[in-house]
Amino acid sequence: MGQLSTQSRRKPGRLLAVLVISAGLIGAACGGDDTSSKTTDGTSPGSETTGPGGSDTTAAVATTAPPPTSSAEMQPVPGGKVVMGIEADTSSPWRPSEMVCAIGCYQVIRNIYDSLAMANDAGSWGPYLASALTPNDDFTQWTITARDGVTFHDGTPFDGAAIVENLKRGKEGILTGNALRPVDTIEVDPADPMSAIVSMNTSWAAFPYTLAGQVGMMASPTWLAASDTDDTLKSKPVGTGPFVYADYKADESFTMTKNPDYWNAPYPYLDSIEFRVIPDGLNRRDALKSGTVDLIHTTNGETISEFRDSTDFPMVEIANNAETSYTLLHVTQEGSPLTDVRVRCALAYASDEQLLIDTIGAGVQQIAFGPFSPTQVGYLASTGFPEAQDMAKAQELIAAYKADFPGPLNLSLATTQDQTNLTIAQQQQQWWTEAGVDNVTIDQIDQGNYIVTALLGNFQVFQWRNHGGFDLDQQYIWWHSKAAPPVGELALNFGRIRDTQLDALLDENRASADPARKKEIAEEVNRLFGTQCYDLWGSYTVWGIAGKSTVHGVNLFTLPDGTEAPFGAGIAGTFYPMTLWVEQ
Amino acid sequence: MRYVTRKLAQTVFVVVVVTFLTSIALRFLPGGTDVIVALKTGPGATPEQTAKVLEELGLNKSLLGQYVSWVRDFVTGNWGTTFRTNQSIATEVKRAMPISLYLMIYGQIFALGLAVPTAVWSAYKQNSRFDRAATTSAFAMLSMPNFIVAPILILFFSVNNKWFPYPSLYTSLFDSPIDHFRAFALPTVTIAIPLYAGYMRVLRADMIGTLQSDFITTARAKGVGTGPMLFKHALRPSLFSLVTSAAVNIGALMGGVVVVEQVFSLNGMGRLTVQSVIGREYPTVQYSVVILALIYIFINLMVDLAYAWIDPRVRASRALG
Amino acid sequence: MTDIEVITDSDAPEVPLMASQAPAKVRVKRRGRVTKWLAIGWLAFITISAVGANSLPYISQDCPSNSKTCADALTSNLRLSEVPPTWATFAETPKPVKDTPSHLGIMGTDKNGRDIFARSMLGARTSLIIAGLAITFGLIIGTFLGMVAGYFRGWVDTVIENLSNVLLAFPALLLAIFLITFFNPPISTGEATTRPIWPIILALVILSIPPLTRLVRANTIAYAQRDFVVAARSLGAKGSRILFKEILPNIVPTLISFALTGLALLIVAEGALAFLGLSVEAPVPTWGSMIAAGSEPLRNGAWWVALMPAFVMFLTVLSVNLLGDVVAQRFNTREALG
Repeated sequence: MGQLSTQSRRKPGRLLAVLVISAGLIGAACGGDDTSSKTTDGTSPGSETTGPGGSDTTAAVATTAPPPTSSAEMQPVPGGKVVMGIEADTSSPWRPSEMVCAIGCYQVIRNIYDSLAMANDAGSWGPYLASALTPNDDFTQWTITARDGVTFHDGTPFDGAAIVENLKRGKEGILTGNALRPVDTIEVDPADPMSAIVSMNTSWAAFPYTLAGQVGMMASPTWLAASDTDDTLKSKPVGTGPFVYADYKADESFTMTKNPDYWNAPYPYLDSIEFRVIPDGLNRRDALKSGTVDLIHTTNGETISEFRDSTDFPMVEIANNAETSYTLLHVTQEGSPLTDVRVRCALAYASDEQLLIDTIGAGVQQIAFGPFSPTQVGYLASTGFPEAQDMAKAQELIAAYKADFPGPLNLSLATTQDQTNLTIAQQQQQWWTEAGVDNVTIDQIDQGNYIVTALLGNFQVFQWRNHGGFDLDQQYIWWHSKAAPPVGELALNFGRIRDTQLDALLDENRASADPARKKEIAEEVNRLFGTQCYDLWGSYTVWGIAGKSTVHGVNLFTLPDGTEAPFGAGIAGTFYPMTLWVEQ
Repeated sequence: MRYVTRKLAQTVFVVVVVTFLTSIALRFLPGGTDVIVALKTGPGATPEQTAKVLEELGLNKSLLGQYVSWVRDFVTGNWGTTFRTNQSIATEVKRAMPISLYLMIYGQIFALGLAVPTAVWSAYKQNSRFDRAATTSAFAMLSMPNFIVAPILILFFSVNNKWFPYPSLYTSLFDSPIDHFRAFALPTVTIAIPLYAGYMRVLRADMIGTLQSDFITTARAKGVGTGPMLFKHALRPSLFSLVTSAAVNIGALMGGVVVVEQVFSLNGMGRLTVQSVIGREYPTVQYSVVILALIYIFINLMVDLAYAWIDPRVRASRALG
Repeated sequence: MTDIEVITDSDAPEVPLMASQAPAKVRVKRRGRVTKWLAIGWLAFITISAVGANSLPYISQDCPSNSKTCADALTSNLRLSEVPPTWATFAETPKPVKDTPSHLGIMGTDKNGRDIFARSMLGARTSLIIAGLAITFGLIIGTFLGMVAGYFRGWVDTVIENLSNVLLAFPALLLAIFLITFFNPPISTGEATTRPIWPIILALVILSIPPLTRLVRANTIAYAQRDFVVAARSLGAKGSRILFKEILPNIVPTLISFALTGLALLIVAEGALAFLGLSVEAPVPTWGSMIAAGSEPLRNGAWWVALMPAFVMFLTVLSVNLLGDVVAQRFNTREALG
């Protein structure tokens, strides 16, 4: 289990991908979502709306001018094939309740599966594969209605039973089960075979956001049953999406062909797409430049910088709802120095994040002082987190800790086998040793085991990337103490944060439907992280989607209810390949 | 005949031991079988899941029982699936094998193609400038590991002048021969360099010996031209060590090109094995290691048998020794 | 020769390595004395530098971490990342930073802004220690096994030969990789532990034993039939005495030559393992990991990061091989045939 495409935190080659399981990709309660200027077609609303909350949520992100295509006049034409280079393959492919889904996974599999709901740019969610999602008065029960006339690629009809089957498996999944923890029962509506009723033990206003992610992806029950007994079928997914499985070679490529009966006409345009796995960022860039692939995504600062200036390969940048690259700390490990806030904040003071951004990221990313990027609810320009390197203060804090706890202070820092991550790790090792830590060991873990290590809590310090999204509720599974069983057991709250104040805030947010209050809660959470230094914040990820000039359509589309889907869909870096088209 | 029987018996013994050790190796990993189960099902496996995995991998049987069931699985092609990606191991090995074969064949051809003429001419013109240049450069090449050669080649041929792609995007020979050979060009040269050096030295030494023997002197006295003398008369008896060496290298190359495959991202058997070892895909490691070992053993057996057949002196001394 | 490549078949009385040398009859003016002394000189230099890497004046030491001009072997300083060597005036850094020099050091700096020359010298330590220990143990064990097999023959010989065959059946580097991963803890435990060094040495020892055993066995067989041994035996000398007093001294020159060549091979093998990330862990430098870390800068134009350590390694391996060759030539003029 657990290949999380582990890519470098800030730069090229390998980035530590976010494990977005419940990925409620959707919607901020308020605050404009800055999908402006991110589309090749320039059709976006240049909105910088401030939500009812009132405070300024304008993005401070360096935006780029849209690439110089005159695509406003161009109309999509059907046909053609696109080859896209992606950063990583997926572990345990491709059953929704088992796959360890990060960005590379979402980019690929959302073409095969549709999700029940989706984010929209009105700061909320809209039904997608489901025709309706109706709550009861106190949000303890949701009725999900399947869209009429939709069948899976293998002919199985999509109905309430299919929803139930998928959600049940989701609940039993080792990782996805965490996202559905509050759910008590899932049943077909006795009054309507096309609907399913989900009851939960708590008020969950934000539930549909969870259904916008992996958990809400609907697979054919026939296929699910067949692959229960035949392992090799598991990697040949059958869904309702715009593309149909054609071929999959692990760690190499995934090819899919057009679904001619796709319910959301006029999509898709392309006849087929191939996703090629090219983990090394430089290789991916070169593959585009040499024409081997038609489209790539990248977080490599230098590559983004390079393509910004290029006219041969138009690039779209997605920085809204971005994940944050950061260093995760295991904060409740017995006997660990990291249980003490002085040590944690000392590590933060000792680090010079801006230097990393400038030297490794080519200055592309924006420095982060909290988990929420500028377009996310809860973003604050200042959170109480150290904003620049202050080695003297770091040394002071460590000295104070050592006065109380004499003895050697050792830390182990886990990273992947990627060279850039190793470079960063060695620099961090340097800083922290200077601050007073006696011994920092670097633990290079192979990708396959990286996520397992985090899940089991077998680490002290860990390089990671996460927390994109809109609603604070999406972070529930990462931060709530209920998601923090003891070391050796599986936990999504990798750092095993057990903070009662944080718990209270998260619970309140889950039940609330008041955008103003939700914003306040998110900001309080932000400040809490800032003062407690639970994580060492790095920078907000910027994704570049660069392609040949004949490839168009990296943009938004209209949801069935008339609202527009937001760019990046809450996991920065992804878009909807069904809108792609190529010049013939 | 005693020799042949002995060789065969030895080979069988080695095969049995090799397969036995590989098949039971899973049991002795640090961390025990729990590690394997965790890798297959993910952490937090239920007792039923654990039992199922142990059953599948034969870990719940006795050592001998595990060996027997492993051999049965191996022979019938029932190799199971990878932990992380649920892919059939047999398919992965089948995909990787041709790539390694291509690499090895091209490498051998390139190395031999360069080594034979160079060695012949070097031996003929012993101590000439050519000879000294050839021997010195061969010696230097023996000191250049492939992970040193590779970056240099990449720098000159892929980065500065984009003649060859990097990484090598493998294309099947049948899809596009040009792309195929372009992809294999740099890896072939990387592998061939140390091979060439070894072959050149070996052949040169033997040629020098042969060129001093009586029958060559006789041939020259009879007026045989340089070309035929070198390549028809002198070369053939000198090929012995070279052929042995080349044959043995066939097997060794198969697994030994790990670094080259890694650097150029060619998904051959070597790379498959290393990635599987690092990714703890133990069953895949088992099968690839066994296959490579079997190939190597088989080839060595052929070489030994051919050796004895070709050279009666050797056979005789062996019978004594 | 990429990994440990064994060019041999199981029963040849003569040692294949010797086949590469011209018969004594031919007058060959091989590497002159100049190259021999150059090789010795380089090795001496490397060894001294490796031992004294922390205190020698010509190796940059103890730079403050925020320095804009000073780079040493272990201090990570991203401001000085990928700066070309002082003599490479045609090269420039792909990552210019304000107020930092455009060229620095004898070999430039790596991605973390550390001095490559200093790291190469430090890396020599790892490579030489690992390879040196491995060849020493391999020599001891291999010689012992080979002599026993070659002198006493019989079932001892068969057992040892078959064990050798089993070990030799695995592609060398793969066997090493497997052994190393086998002996390392599977998943990290969240405690600050360093990867142990003994699995690497053990793997390399295991790899070097079979060829050594064969070599010694062949030589022992050859010498055991010689008159002086027969004479000793008829005088009543015991086996072990014969082995150590009569046979061993005669084998020593061959052993030395083989040991040197073996040392070169093991340095390369350790380099390959380090290249794959399986040797000692960061930030301790080893040549192989430095070269591996240099492959990305190479593609970005910073060729010195990979090629400088490669050059140092190449010179070292070449020097060791040269010495091995010289020793072999000195002591050998015939082929061992019974």
